[in-house]
Amino acid sequence: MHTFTRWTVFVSLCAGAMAADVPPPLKIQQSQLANGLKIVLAEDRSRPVANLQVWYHVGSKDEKTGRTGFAHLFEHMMFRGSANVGPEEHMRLVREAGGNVNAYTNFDMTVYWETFPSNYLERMLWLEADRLASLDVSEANFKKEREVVKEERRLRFENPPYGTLVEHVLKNTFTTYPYKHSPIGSMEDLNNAAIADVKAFHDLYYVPNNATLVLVGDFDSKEALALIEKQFAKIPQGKAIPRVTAVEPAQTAGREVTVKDKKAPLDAVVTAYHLPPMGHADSYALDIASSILSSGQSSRLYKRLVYDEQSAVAAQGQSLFLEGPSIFFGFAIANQGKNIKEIATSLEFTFNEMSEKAVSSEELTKAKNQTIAGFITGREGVQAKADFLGRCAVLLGDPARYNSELAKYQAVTAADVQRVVQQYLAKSNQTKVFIAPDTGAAKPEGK
Amino acid sequence: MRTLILLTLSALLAAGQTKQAPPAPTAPRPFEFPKAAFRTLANGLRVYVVEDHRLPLVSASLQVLAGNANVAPEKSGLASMTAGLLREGTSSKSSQQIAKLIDNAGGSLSASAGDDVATIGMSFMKSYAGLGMELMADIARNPAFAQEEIDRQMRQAQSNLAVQYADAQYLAPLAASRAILGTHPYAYPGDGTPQTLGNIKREEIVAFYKANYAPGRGWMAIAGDVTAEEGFALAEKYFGSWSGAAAADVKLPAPPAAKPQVLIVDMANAVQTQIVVGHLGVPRNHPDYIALTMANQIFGGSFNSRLNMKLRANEGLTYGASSGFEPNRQAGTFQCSTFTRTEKTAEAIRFIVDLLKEFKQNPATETEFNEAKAYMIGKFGLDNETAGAVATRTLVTAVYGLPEDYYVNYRRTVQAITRQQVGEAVQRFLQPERMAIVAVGNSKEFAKALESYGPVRVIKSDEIDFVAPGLVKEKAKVELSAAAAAAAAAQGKGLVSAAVAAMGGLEKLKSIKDISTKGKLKLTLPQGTYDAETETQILYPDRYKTVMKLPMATITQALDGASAWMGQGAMTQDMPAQLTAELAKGVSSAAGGIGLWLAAEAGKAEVHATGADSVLWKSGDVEVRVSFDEATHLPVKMAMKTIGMTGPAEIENVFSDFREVDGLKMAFATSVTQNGQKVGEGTTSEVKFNSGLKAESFAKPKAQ
Repeated sequence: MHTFTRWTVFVSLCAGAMAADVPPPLKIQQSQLANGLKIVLAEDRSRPVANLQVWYHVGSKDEKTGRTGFAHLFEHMMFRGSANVGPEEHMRLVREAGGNVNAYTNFDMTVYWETFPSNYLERMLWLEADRLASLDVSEANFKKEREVVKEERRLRFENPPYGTLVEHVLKNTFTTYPYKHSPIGSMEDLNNAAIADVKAFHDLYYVPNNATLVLVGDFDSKEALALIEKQFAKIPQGKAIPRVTAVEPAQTAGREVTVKDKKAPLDAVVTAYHLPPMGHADSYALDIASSILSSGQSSRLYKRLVYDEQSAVAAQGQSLFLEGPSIFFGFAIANQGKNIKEIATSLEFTFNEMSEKAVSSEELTKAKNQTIAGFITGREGVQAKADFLGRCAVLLGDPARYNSELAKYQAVTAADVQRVVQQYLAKSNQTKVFIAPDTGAAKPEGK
Repeated sequence: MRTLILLTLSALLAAGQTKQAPPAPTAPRPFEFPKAAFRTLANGLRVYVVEDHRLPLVSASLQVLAGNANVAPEKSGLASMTAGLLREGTSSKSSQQIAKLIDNAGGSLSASAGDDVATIGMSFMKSYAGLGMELMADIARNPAFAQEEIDRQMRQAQSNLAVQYADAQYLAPLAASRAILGTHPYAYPGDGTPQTLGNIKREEIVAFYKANYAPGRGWMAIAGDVTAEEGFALAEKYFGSWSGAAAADVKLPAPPAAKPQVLIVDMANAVQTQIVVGHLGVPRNHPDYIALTMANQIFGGSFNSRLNMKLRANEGLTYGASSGFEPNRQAGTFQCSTFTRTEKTAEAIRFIVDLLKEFKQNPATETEFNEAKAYMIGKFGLDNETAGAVATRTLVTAVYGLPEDYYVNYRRTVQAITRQQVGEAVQRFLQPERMAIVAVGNSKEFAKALESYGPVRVIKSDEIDFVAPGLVKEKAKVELSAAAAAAAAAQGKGLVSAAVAAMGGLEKLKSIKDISTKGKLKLTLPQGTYDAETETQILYPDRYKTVMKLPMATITQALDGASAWMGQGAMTQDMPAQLTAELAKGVSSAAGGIGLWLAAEAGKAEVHATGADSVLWKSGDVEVRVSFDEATHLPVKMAMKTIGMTGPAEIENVFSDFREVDGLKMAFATSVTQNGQKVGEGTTSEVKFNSGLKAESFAKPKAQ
């Protein structure tokens, strides 16, 4: 390890200003139970804590027509009781141990996690096994929880300024692929969801052969594996999991829409572009391009739009890599009194610059240093480690990529960046969404 | 044991009745809070080092007593603006040069201000730790505060506020702070308001920086892949030569007592209401803090708390309901927060208040108490997993004045607390009958239903002003309607004409070129009462001088037409620009407000009636409220906002003993109050008009 570090220092000095620091690799152990449950373990005994995550490979893209938002609504049901755990008791049993617990639902997956003092490992496994094996939700609790989710939708999407922006972008960017709706779903579909859907969803997707258990922290792998077997092996394997077959047709011409928003105080614009899926060979150069465009105050978009022109309050260019067809977002909110069309032009001009001229070696080194630093800070704490480990295991299909992904970023060249920008951030691949304040509404302060 | 569980399991599968108990924990692995190495540098900077070699990363955090509480309400935003500008350029590097150095190294450097402290933080990979410290020191010690950068930040801040003011989640805590803390320095928004940001000038930023950013007002923690000696060496190298006079830590006034009240911020297009129910809390070093934190765990501090179980799990009213203490160094708040669809607003508030009442009756069951204690003890290990988290807590003990071994002993302290102590702390603290209730949403759907909780104030979201005493923008108050405004202007003109006539007539006022007066002033200050002899000279329109002879010194304040200066004995010095403006106000309002009335007659000021015998006089930013005697029409009261040497104040002068001098009615007695406290009582012995004063006599004496 030390020898390696010194060697890297030497190489870095020769290469320019590359960082000498490397994220320490994680010792990963993987296995699978007979019922199909995948297990990924990484010991880190430096503190008496551990993080357990159960990743179910089902997200909003798997939802049936007329049931948008259901994967997420279902996630809430997983806290409403199982054979041996009463409603909300899951939370209580983790809390009593001094642990933290939560879950989240995304386009591609649903993840349940606990971070806890390591002497409570078996309890956490037992809790997760119980709700995978059996769900016991009453009709009354289902209806209450549906109201809770509707409040979540109001909180995050309907009430705040720009809350519905993402929904407009997705709806206009995807014509076919089920990423066209957001994981929160529509109010109408939430209202139509029924208790019978909960049971069907659990039966189909909440089976060991659709789950990956990730455990990072203070345990002995052999003992942990025995405990996992004890809690999970008895759960029967489910049917084969149906996977999304829809294909998003290639976009051939740019699109543009304007949406009036009563809650938006300032104009905003999003330019979205289709990208290949997560882990695609081009994805690393696209992430490096994102970094050069948006990471830090010396990034191209910040410098041009926010600092020099002072035309935007915020300006970003970010890739969002998903398991299926992915997206690159350019995004800007206008400063008071600034013309959003001109800002959109500046945004595209900045992208064009990168397609016309290769980025400098200084910028490339900067983006790589930022990536390395991200990999190091992304290893602070057991939960951060498990987050990335789960992503590698479930969405990239191989937990070992945890230790090899950084090298792919480091291999990116200026020519790669130029090529991917040319290829993907093209006008014909663009969907532009303008958000305009609805002038019929009462205006907030400062117009 | 294992056999037993398996047996239970088979019984369960067979009967489908009995529930399995969760597996018991094994013995916990010990965790001791890592003790930081500590050293005070020669300049007074206190430095901690938390050594942790697990990752090649070094972070540092510098906290200085330069938070919002050190700022006058009408300058709200000054502390955040000052902190935010630190990285926007130093004496040797531009904003973009700094950004490039940070980004090229993949590091981060940030600066922001909270209520008590400003925090400058950096995190760099180990190879760049020296660079990180160098940049951190540069921005902390040599900020340039270029006007161009200030303008840029102001513009950004104004646009950000425009977005945030459309967000109920942003407005609710700000409204709650004002409702609970009144006019306490912690009550005002750290981001500033659209109005206060406009009041902030470069010299104020520079002055705030100089007064507050000093090693003697600061603490630093360095954490990560360094040894203690390496950490101290970094601190010494980059901060050892930092100097700066440290102003003393200010003792803030006591916050107001809790009182029942309802404050609604009306957002007509909201579909959901943000709710805060709260009252005064405790400072961070309060002896009951840990017991109250435990009580809060039970009431609203966790998912399974009474509050969340009722509002979310049992009623489906919200996605989340929680309560918590927000403790600062000298005071704090206790707030319950939630949100619900508009039509359920009143119901949710009723549940919260009822739960608070019930909680005071029955603070903790044995089960609740045991769970809360187990949680706090268990979670301590999780909370201190990273070097950064340990450094943050180490700084908390230092900044908030906690015992040095507070976190070392934390688990033992929590373990020793009894259920009875928690109950007693709740009894001492909680006042469910005196809650401030804040709701941000579509007011007309619930305002009426909240009247039973206390007096209701409804303010439209686009009329709110978080620093105005009444929370409403002045403009919104005055702009009733065009017709009403015209009527108020006409009435104001009438009142001024009557006053001018009573004083001696417009021509007489216009003939006054200069005034000299002599008199006595009894000053009542916190230090004691003093008798002074005063001599004041005014040369219209912009020269003013007053000489005050006190037993211990003679103090001169003067305005030479452009800038202000003051003198004590033979020593003189220029006064800050904002005080120049304050003295200029004094010229207009002196001698019965001759300057005010001439400006109004010349159309250089607006006057609106605010009552049968009172007007608001306004010119640019300057506002004076004047009351006239009902019978004589003479001006008897003048009030204005001013910035004195000790900060902003509301000054009120009451005039009496009117006598005629050369055909002009002048007040020979004046009583002065500041923020409602009487500070001076003056009597005049001599008044002379047009004695031919020369401009030169107002100039600052040349330095010797």
